[in-house]
Amino acid sequence: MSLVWHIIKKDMRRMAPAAALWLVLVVAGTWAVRLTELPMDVALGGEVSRWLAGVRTMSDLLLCVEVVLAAVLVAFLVQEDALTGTESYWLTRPIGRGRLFVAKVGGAALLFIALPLVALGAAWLASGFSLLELVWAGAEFAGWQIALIAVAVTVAAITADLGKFLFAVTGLALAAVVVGDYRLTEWLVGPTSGSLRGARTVMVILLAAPLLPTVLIIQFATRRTRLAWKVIGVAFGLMLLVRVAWPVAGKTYPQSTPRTGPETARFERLVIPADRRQPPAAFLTLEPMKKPGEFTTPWNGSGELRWANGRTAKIYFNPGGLWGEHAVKRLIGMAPETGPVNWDMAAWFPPPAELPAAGEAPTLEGSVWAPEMRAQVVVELPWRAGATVRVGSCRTRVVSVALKPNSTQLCVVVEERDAWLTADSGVRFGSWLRESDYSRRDSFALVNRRLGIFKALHIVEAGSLRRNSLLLSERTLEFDPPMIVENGERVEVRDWERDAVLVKVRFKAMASSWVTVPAQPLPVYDEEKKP
Amino acid sequence: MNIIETENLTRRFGRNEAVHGLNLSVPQGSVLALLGPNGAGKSTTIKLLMNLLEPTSGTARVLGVDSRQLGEKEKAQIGYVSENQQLPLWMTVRQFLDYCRPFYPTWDRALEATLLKQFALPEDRKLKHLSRGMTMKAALLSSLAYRPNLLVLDEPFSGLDPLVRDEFIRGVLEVSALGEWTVLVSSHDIEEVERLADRVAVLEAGRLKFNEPTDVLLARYRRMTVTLGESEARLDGVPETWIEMERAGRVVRWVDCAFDAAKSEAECRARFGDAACVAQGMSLREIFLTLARTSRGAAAEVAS
Repeated sequence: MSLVWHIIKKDMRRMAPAAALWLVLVVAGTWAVRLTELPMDVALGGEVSRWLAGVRTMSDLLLCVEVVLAAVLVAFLVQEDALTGTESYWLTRPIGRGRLFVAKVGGAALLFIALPLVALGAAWLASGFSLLELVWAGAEFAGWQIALIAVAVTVAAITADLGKFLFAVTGLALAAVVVGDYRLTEWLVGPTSGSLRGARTVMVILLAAPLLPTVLIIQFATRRTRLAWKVIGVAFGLMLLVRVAWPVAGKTYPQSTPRTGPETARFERLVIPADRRQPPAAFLTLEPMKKPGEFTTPWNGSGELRWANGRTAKIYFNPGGLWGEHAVKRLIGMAPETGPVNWDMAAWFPPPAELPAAGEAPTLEGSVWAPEMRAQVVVELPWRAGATVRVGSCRTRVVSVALKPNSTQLCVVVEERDAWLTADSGVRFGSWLRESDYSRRDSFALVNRRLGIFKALHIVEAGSLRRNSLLLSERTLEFDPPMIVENGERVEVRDWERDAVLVKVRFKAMASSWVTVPAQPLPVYDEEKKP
Repeated sequence: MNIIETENLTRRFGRNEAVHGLNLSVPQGSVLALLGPNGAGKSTTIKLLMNLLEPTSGTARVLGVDSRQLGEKEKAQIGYVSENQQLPLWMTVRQFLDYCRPFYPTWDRALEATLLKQFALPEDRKLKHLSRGMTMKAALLSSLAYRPNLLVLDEPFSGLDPLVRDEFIRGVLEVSALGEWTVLVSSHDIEEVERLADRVAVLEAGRLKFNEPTDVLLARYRRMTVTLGESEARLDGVPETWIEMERAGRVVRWVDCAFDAAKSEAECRARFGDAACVAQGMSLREIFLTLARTSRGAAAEVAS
């Protein structure tokens, strides 16, 4: 063991400057996410999203540099005592290959996992990570690094120098894309069924899984580099063969049976917006689930519109801008606790279909994919710019509240800094800002309990910056100020901002199923012509 | 006891046979010079012995162990210096020695200090900043300081100036005098190893021409000169051991590679009568060059 450590120390001395540079990049990138704050002066009209996208581009570039640099450094570490050729001085020294393997892997783990974990741990602790979050964040970082080290050590062990290493990595990456992406092979040999594709993918994974250990064993145990390359070639050949010619399809899992019944899902109306560039809004009602705070939430769906004259049109649905409004209102006790919940859905029609006209009521029949979600109020913030609330690792800040230029609408920019963990279990345990991800979704509302005001806020922009389990996200919300009718005129509610709070609610999926939309008339309204 | 023994050792690179059926033995305590022109298979042989290459067929035993099974224990008893070895050039001489030391239980720090002084190596200078001669000396030092039972030197003198070469040889000689070391040194130039070797093996085109003690070899080879009188000499049907036969006027010269004073004298008398016959001793270098020329001529004949 002492000799292993002796080799590791030698390698660390050799690698120190370059590894330190890499470590600085990793830690600086992470601390940058930890410390970056959205600038208040660019927080209107989507500018903040563009600003964040710019920062993210730089961050992503930095991440690429980090990954490539780490791979090159691992290769350098291995090739410092090269396994190929006959000229490395260690080959004639009393250094066993097993000992060398342990030293190289140990050195790589120390430099590229343990040391950065210590440095990143400080950033995570400073961000208020819980112990569980720390463990998960550490495990996720270590997992990615282990994968990178495994590939880099293996390829470096069978290449003579860094040039050949980079060449080999590029070639193997291309080969992996060819056998990994079914679209390429199906483009060549024609489409296949989903179950056959799944079976082929499983077979490719089964062939790929033992490849790295096999090559490592061959190279470190026998130094037969040609044999190692032959094994790689044969494995990729077999994977390609499997991808194009494996004949046995896998088990087909039946799609979940849609729940039926007119009380389950009902589209109330379709509204053609005044701004014709916006999609029509469809309002769907769904029964909530039995437990308080749990909802059957529509996500996307499709159906067919049928007119009495025989005309038909396909219609598709996605969550609309005010999705979750009713559920949130019920969750915070400002709506009755019983009865169906209304959901705002955006409807769209595939071209060349024409929009239904106001006043029509074609029959709609279809189905909606509706995850069962648990909703929870994550945070309530005072209604003012700069207001900040921190709950565990999640810090939410109102960056700005301002009148939208050339509009009567108000614009709120909310910044969140949070733990970003792939493996999370709780509602608030980690944010995930992929809008297409059905498993989580946030809704925001302006609430003034004193005046009984509730206004769902429309998410118009969203952006995020992620690095090493830290997330910086931004959401731009828009809404019309609360109005009342006084003396026959609509006027803004006086003093509505006093005691108002910004409420953030997160929906998290527990299970998913399809809900049938039984044949029903769908009245069409025009927002412009609305009284 | 033989420290190195090979049996029909063969190594092919594709269709090219670098070493062919080599049967070589190196007795303990001897200093064997493995000679041969460039491409003769010397380095390949040494790489096979050091398990840097695997034999295509045949076996090699080093320190009593199959070369393919050489482990840490055996390697701790072998010193290896090669002109092609890639040393960690980023280390200083001191760092290099400090790195090597823990791997050898028999490392002798006093010997290390002595050699460091004798070789005049600057401890704080990085290997990459040393001259070629200095680098080779550093490599030699790191291979001598643990008093190996077997020292293998693969073309260690290539590119070294005479002064450094002399220091190098002196270092090996002085240290080898300290114990029962076995040394295997390969070279394409006999002059370089003349002072070192007590045995000589010559490889040619992957085949072993001979392997015998230096003194036996020196006794066996003679340059013969005969100055003919009035009578004509018979130059046909000469013994096979007479090579490089040439005649210039009345002087006939050849090399007798199986010289025996009485027998050679009798053969001369039988062919040249009472002509003056002189037998001159040859240096190893001359013997080596003679062999190289003869083999090249034979190869050319076979090719034509």
